[in-house]
Amino acid sequence: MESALQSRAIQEASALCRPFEDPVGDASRMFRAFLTAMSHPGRVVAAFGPGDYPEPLGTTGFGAALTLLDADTPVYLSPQIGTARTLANLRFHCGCPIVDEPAAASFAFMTMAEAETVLPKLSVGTPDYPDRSATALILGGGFTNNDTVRLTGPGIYKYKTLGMNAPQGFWTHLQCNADRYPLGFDTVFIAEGEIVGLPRSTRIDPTITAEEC
Amino acid sequence: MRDETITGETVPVPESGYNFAYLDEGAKRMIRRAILKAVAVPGYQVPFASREMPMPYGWGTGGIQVTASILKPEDTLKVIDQGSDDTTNAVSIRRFFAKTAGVATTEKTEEANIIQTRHRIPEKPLSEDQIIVLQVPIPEPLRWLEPREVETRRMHALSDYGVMHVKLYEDISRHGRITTNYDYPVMVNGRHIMAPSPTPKFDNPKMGNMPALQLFGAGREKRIYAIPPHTEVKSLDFEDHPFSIQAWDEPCALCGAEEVFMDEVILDDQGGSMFVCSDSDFCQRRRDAGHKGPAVEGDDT
Repeated sequence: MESALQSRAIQEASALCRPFEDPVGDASRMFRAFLTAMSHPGRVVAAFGPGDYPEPLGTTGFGAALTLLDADTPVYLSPQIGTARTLANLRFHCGCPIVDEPAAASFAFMTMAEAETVLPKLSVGTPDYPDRSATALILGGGFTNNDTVRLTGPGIYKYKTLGMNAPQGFWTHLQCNADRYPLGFDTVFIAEGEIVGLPRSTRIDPTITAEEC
Repeated sequence: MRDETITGETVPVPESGYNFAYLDEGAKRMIRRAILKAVAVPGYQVPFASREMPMPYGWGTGGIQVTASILKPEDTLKVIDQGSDDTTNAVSIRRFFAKTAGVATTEKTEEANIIQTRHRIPEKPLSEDQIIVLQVPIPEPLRWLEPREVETRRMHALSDYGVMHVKLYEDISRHGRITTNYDYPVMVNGRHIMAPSPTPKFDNPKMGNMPALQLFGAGREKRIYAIPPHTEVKSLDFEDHPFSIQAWDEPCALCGAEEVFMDEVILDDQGGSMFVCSDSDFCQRRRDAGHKGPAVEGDDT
C-alpha cells in the first residue's frame, strides 16, 4: 500500500529529467556559451541543454539552470515558468532555493510576456557592490534579422543590431537599466539552441522612446 | 607520474582522482558566476570565495582558478611568465592543467584559445576567439593610497578618483615624469579605475579595444575582474604629461626585433649585458624565420 508521501515521491521522480550526459564537460561548454554571450552583447551564440527537459524551460533553459544554479543562488520563477515539473527538476538537480519575490533572486526565469512585470522588481545591486544584482533569463522569442535595436558598449565593435519579437515598451526597461550603470541587472535571452547576452553595460539605441526612466 | 611522448614533447596524461581542471563543480560555478558579473561591469572587482590551491599565493592562484573555471576539454592552453613559456611558473601551471584537465597545451600564441599569463601580453595581437587570463597580486589600484577596503569601495562607487591623479601629479613634481612603470592605472569603459596587474606599462595600449576577452584573477585578495573585447581602456595621464611607453635604444640581440618589450640579460661580471625579447615565443619564431640580432649576426651555424 502506498502512503501519500510515497506516491508524491513517485510522482516527482517521474517528473525528473535526465541532466547533461557529460555533467562536467557540458557545464563547461555551456558556461563558455554564456561567457561568449556576455562578452559579445547582442551576438546570437549557440547553446544547448539535455534532450529531456521541463517544458517551460526548454532544453537550453534547462541547460542554463544546470550550468549556473546551485544552493547559493536564490531563483525566481515567473508564473508561466514555475510549473510543478520545473520546480521538481530545479530542486533536485540544482538544489537552489526558490523565492517568491523577484527582488530576492539572483537569477530570475521569465517569459518575454512576463518580463515587463518582473524586470522592474529585480535587484540591481548596491553602489558599493554592483555585483549583488540579479541576472534575468528571458525564455522564448526567436532572434530575427529585423533591426529592432542598435547596441553599443563594451564587447561590441562599433555597433550591433539585435532583432527580437519583443512586446512594446520592453526595450524601455532595458534602457532604464543601462542608464543606472554600474548598477543594474544583466539579461540573457534564451531561445532553443541559442542565447543572446545583454549585460547592463550595453547601451541601447536612444531613438527608441525612453520615457519613465 | 605517467608521461607519454608526442612529437618529441613530453605531455602528461591526465591524472585520475581529480575533477576536470582540479576544482570541484560547486567552486567552478561560483567562480563562473563571478566572471559573468565581472564581464558585465568592466573594471569592477567582483569578490569571490577564493579556494586554496596546491601552490602558494603569489604563484598565480587567482589566475589558475579563473582558468580552471573557464576551461573546457577542447581548449588549447598557453601559459607564460613574464612573456616566457619556459620559466618555472609557466611550466608548472601548464603541467598542472595538462595533468588535471588533460587539455592540449602549446607555446604558440595563435594556437592557444586560452592564455594564462603572469604580467605580459604576447606581442602577437590576440583575436576574438582567444581569452587571456592575467594573474593579479594586488587588484585594488587605490590600495597604496587608501588602505581601508570600505573606503576604496566607496571611492569606486562614487568615481572619487582624485587621489590617483594627485599621486601621478606628485610623481611629476618630484621626478619630472610619472615614474610608474608597471601596474600603471587605467580607466576602463570611462567608469572604473583598474589595476592592469603588474604588466609593464608597455602593454597598456594593447589592453584597449583588444578583440580578446581579458580576465583578471587575484587569489589571495579574492577578486575577479574583466575587460570585455573592444572596450575602451585609457592609461591615466595629463594633457601636458601624456602617457608614454618604454622604448629601447637597441634591437633584440637574438632576433633583431624593435618596438617590443625587452629583458636585460646579464652576460658576465664585467658589466656586459644584452637585451632580448621578453616574449620567448615571438623571439623564437622570428629566429626560425631567419631574423638575426646583433649577438648572432655572422654566426651561420
